[in-house]
Amino acid sequence: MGGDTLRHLTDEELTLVYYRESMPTAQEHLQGCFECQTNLARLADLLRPVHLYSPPEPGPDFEERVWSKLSLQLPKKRNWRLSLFRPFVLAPALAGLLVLALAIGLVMQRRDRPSGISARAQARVLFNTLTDHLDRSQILLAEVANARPGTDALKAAQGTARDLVDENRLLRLASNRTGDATRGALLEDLERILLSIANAPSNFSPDDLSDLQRRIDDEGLRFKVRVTNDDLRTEERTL
Amino acid sequence: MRKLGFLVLGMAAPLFAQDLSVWMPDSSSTSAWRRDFQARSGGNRSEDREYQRGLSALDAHRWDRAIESFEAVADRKGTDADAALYWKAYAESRAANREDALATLGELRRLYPSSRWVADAQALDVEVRAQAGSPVNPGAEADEEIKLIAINSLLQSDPSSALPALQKVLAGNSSVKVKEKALFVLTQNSSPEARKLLGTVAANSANPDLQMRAIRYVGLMGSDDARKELETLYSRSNDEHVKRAILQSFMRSGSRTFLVNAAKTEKSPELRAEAIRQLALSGGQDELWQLYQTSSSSEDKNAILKSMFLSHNTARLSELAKTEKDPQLRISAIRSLGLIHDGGTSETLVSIYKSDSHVEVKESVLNALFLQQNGKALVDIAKSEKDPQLKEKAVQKMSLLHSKEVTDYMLEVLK
Repeated sequence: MGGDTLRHLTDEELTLVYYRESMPTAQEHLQGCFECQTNLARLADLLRPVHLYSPPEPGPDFEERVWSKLSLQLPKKRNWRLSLFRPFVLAPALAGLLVLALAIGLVMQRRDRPSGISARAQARVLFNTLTDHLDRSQILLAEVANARPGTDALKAAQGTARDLVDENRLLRLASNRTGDATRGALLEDLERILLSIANAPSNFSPDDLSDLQRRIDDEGLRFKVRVTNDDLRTEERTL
Repeated sequence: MRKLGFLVLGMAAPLFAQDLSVWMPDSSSTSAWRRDFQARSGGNRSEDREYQRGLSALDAHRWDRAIESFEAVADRKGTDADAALYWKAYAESRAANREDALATLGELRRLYPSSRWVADAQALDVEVRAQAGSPVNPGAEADEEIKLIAINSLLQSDPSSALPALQKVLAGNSSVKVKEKALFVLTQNSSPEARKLLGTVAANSANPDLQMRAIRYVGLMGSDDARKELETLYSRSNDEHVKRAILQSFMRSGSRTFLVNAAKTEKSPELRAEAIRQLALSGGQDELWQLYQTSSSSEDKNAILKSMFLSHNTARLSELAKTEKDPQLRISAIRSLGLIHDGGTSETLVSIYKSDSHVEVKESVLNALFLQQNGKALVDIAKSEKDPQLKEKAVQKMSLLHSKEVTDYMLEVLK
């Protein structure tokens, strides 16, 4: 409409005036135009009864009907279900699923099975077994060191010595492997004495016995074994 | 006549040299006689000296000298020749002459196949080969102990081959001692498979001795996995020995929560007492105190008192000796205090004697003071005690003690 106030108002403009939605220029024109005032009065008479009736409820198939009309005018959309089965989508998706399944499987498997044996745990077992071994070795060395010459001077000790030799070998190898050279050396010294006892001939002479006792004494073996054992017990507690 | 005897024996010496000990009675005088005889008979003495020289060289780690000595002894092919060959190979291996060592061991097996050194020679052989990086084959070893040495070597280089061999030893007919060693070898491998196998042995009740050892090792693992494994094993087992071993394992691992729980909920009184003992050994004094306060069982409380004594917890024992409502438990605490000679326990005992009205408790204090050899405290009590029976008891106890205070008091009574 612009700033044109000379032109008579159309029915649409009068309707907007009736609903108080018109532009200010339309109001200005209306105030000076008898004809448009008459037309507005007539339109008001016509529109007034409309407010007396509430708008009818749409039918149950209203949405469907509207949608069926609209859908015909919409551009055709691709079926997403079908597009999933295209190879360039399907292959990476399956690969991803496979990786996920493997990862879950690995996690579950790891949860079920215990982890390995740590170096600390290995050291604890070594120390624990070593203290037992050195305890028994101390008893044997004490027996041999105090044995009196006779035909069965070493008879009782030989069985124990045999068992200790075999154990000693494993413990020495384990100690050397962990880099514990000091204890490895002690076990080496101990092993030679244990071997001499375990393999002593049945005609072990009193001189042989005193030679063996001298070797144990010269080496300070009993003292070394006792001190090492005490150290091990202390270390075992701190591990 | 004696000369003649020596002459005859000297002539027969080579025949009897090996079994002479059978002839010899056990006394130092005959020992001296025998040395004299051996010196006269010549026999093996020079060989023996060389052999001893070799052993001394070994002990001093003088490998070259040891090799020389043992070679000399072995060359003479006398009674110590097999042992000399073993020690020669030993010295050669320590001197890193591995090829020589293997050759010497081969010579020992060839020349003396029935020698008692053969088994050790085989073990040394495996060890030397492993050190040299040569492949070892546990399956080829007939001797179980040697097989273990081979497995031990293989475990470091090729665990996947070694573990099945180890599993075979553990499941086979070997002695428990061999199996226990196999279990140790197993723990020195870090693989999850080794750990799993250890758990399997710990859960297997078919061989109780081995199971105990495995439980001990699982306890030493110190991980949450291991603790859970032991908890499950404890709940599933009906064997009291297994349960005890598990409680001990928890003590070793320093995990007190499980021990407290077992001390509270275990149905067997013996196992509850064991849990309490292990709790004390693991240093759980606070837990024991809480347990004492919440427990309604006199048996458990008594076990806790014993544990407090084991860990010299004089503060708590003194407190309970004074405040415990059950006289029998008070007596138990007093008895424990009597065995501890430090921490002012005598003063506590004397104060309990003065404050406690229970005769039995008073008598237990007299016993405790007697155990502490505390003559002065007994004299003081005897002097102030008005109850004739208790006074008599105090005098009876002090009559067994020797102290100046007691003697003076006795003389005073006699006057």
